[in-house]
Amino acid sequence: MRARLLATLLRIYGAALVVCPRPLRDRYGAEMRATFADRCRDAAAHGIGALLRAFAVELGDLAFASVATRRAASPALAPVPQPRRSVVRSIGQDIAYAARMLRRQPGFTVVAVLTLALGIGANTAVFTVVNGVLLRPLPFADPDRLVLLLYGRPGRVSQWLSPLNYRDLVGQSAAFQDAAAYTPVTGNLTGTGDPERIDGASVSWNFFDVLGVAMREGRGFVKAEGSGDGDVVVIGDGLWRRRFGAQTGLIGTTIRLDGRQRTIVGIAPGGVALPAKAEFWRPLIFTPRDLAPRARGAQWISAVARVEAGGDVPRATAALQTVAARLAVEHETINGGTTALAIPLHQRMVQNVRQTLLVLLGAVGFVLLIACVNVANLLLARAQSRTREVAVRAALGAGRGRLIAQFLSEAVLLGLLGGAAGLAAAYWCTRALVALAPASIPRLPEVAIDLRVLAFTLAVAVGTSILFGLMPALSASGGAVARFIGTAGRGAVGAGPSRPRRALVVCEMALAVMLLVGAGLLIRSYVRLQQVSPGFDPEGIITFNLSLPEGKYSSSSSIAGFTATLLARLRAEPGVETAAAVFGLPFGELSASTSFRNPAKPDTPDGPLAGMRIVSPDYFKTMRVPLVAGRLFDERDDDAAPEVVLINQQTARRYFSGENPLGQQIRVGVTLAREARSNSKTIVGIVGDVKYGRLDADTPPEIYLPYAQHAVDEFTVAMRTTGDPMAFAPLLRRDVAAIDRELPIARVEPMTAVVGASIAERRFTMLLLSAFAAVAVALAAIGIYGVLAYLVSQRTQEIGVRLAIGAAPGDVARLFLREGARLTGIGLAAGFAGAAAATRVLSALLFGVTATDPATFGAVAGALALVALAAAYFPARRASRVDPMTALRTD
Amino acid sequence: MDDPRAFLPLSPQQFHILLALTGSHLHGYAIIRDIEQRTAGAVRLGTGTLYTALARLEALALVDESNRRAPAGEDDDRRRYYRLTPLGRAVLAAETERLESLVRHARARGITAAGRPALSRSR
Repeated sequence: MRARLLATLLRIYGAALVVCPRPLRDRYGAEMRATFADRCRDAAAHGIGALLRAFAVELGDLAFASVATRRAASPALAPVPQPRRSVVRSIGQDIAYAARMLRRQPGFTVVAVLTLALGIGANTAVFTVVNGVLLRPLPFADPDRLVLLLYGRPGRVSQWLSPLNYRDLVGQSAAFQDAAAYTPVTGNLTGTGDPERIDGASVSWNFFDVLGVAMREGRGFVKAEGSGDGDVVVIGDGLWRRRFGAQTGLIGTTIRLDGRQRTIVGIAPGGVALPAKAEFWRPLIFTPRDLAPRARGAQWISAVARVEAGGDVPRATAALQTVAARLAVEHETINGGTTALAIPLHQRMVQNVRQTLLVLLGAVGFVLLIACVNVANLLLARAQSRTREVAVRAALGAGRGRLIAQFLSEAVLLGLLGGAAGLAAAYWCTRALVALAPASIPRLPEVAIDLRVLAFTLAVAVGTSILFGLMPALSASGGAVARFIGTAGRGAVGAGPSRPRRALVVCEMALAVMLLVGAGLLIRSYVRLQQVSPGFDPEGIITFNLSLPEGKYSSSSSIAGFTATLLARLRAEPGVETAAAVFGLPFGELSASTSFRNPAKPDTPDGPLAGMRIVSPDYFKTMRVPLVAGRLFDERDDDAAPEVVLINQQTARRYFSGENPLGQQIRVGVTLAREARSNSKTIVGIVGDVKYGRLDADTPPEIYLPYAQHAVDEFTVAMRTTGDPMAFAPLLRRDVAAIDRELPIARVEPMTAVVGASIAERRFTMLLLSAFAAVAVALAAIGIYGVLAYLVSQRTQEIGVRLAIGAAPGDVARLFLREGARLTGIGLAAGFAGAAAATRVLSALLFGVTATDPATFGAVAGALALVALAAAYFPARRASRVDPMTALRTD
Repeated sequence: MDDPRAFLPLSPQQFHILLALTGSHLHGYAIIRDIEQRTAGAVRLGTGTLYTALARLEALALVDESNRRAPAGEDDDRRRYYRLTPLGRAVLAAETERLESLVRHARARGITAAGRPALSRSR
């Protein structure tokens, strides 16, 4: 833990060395890093606090030393030209003066720096994630030229292709320099340690060449391995570290994968997440069956291609469309009406999270704005108390520009301090973000603080300090003399000096309203989504995945035999009500879809499509999916019995409207089991609709096939239990091991977690936005409190007079409450206008509410009004308790 | 050899670095540690300050790189060791002399370390 922190600090310091003049960095950079590391190690011995302190001191020292060197006329370094010297010197004076001012008021400085650190830290953290996921180029050579092929009917394209279509699309369009196919697989890793199921991919032999990946060790595949019997494997960085302790000399050794010895030929570097989560790659070898003309409709591979040098994505898409149009004519029954296009690989990887991340970045930007407003308010208050100093300086001949420069240097210094503290905060926040983020966000392990993040933080710190420094600077310099001579702070009544502060508070309220509305809408969406019934009852179910290795379970009967034995064993355990095998668990990883048709009618390209699920008889009882008509599968629907199929209500509605589907015959286009009968099947029942991939989408048409007639070697087991389902995990491990000790169990999860994972991303967005909104409201409340407290202190004399001539304390309190209410009202109105405009970007993230949901807006108004009232109450009470005699006696 | 006095005055950091190198050849962090221990923690150079000062001292040929290396395995090979050049030693002596004469002048006027003229105390 501490070692990782140390490594991160070292990286930050290394990146920060860019501020050094080039010659210095070239000559001493490596040494400086070593020396810095020494100091940190020594400091770390005294605890994390000492380490962070040393880090901050070192960064500050680096900045000062670099500035000093650039200014010094050293023979090794270019001297600063003479005419600029006076400007530089005056800036230096300003900074030194600003530093003295800040040191003299530690309370103010600490509050301002902490406020900024909060804003900048949160921004840096979110930006770090945005940078790692959206901005950083993929770790491939020339990644902008890498594309994924998409194929399908217009508007319904997916990245799945059949091998024949892949071959023709790539081979017949001249737009690509090279292309490779891949398809995700899982493998059972045995032999060393516990059996483990790992994700991987079968890939064309030239896969790594197409991507342009430099192997960490060893090599990618060679051409012969794309057709030979292929007992070679490339393992990923993650697997290499986790399973082999990052040891060297693994090349040429073997691992046992799916019961076969495979020789490790290469170790891929980190970040090669194609397909996502892949930890090993083995050669993809097409069988004659894969390339048979009737297999053209079996879409199970993805294709990544490198666009020809000088080409671009639109041109590649155009070329693909030409070929696809030709294929659609040549293979009308299968390809009719389909098209193909190319999409940049990176865009495809992040397209689902892009909007979420940008919304979060925007929201956290609002938090920073609010923090800026609060600091501006602090600075304004201080500027007003420094009217005298400013007037004297102006009278002594300081120009307006010089005064502004001086205020700005204070602001920039504050901003930089806030930025430094924010960077430290960001380090922890980023780790928290990465830990909390749902697994659906790609590239998360690559997220790290790098040079771009540092530049962003620096830009944010300087930019915001100019933002919050400029207003006080302008207001303090302009008319300071006049104000000083005119009123000299004597009973200053009226709006004059406090108007900018009021305006700032209104801004703050408006920003808080916008954030709160955004958070409110997401919370309501989330609640709505949780109320959506998935069509089954996930409570009390435990699930786990199994994948039977081909070598050991080569026939359908051996697979079916294993599954039947396992289910019988599990069902006999006390506390287990039912157990079922399923391929295509709702919200699970495995899924397939197929075309189907009535054998009596001709095959058409736009024939019906449905999701395909393969289930054992107890599945519906386990999941509590209701039977609508006909019958469910039972033990009689075995391998020898006539083929049967169930459909869901959606299939019945969409494809059998006006007729009774029961008893009708269908043929399905895809077979998943290795040996499966593909005759006509009779529809024997209709079951209730079940949500599959997402709660917020309509249920697709589905077809259920009996497991006994389609024994697939990869499936999920679902068990309905009494009590806590996870308590059954040891038991099911024991039962599986009793049948096959080498078989690993993957993803043992309660069904509720499987469903929950599908909305984890929404939950993450909602929680983060709520946290931002809470910070915003707190800062806004502090802002209102600050302004009113300031007004009360400014108007103490006036209050004294009012009380002396007979005003009731309640009247005085109301005066200030009214002021608070006025500010709140204006802020709310402005905020709602802003929210109505801004929440439109949220609409894609909403479910079941509109972006202008009146209930949310109302609740926000109520909540903010209450908070503002509470913030205004204390200054108002203080005003009502002013002692008239004391107030009048002062000055 | 150049006239050592041409290099005066030295900045306090430069002075301390030269002082640290009088006894032995040290690498960067060892210089920092030496100064810190010698001044009981009162002077603690940051890495950036150290190397900007070292760069200048090296450019002025008061310090150069030593060919000493610590035993293998125990040491980071990014590290370089530095030593005083004869010129550096002469400049250090000249600066010490300059400081001494400054102090003599101050003492002569009754300025002591307490920061108050000795005269006012005797009054």
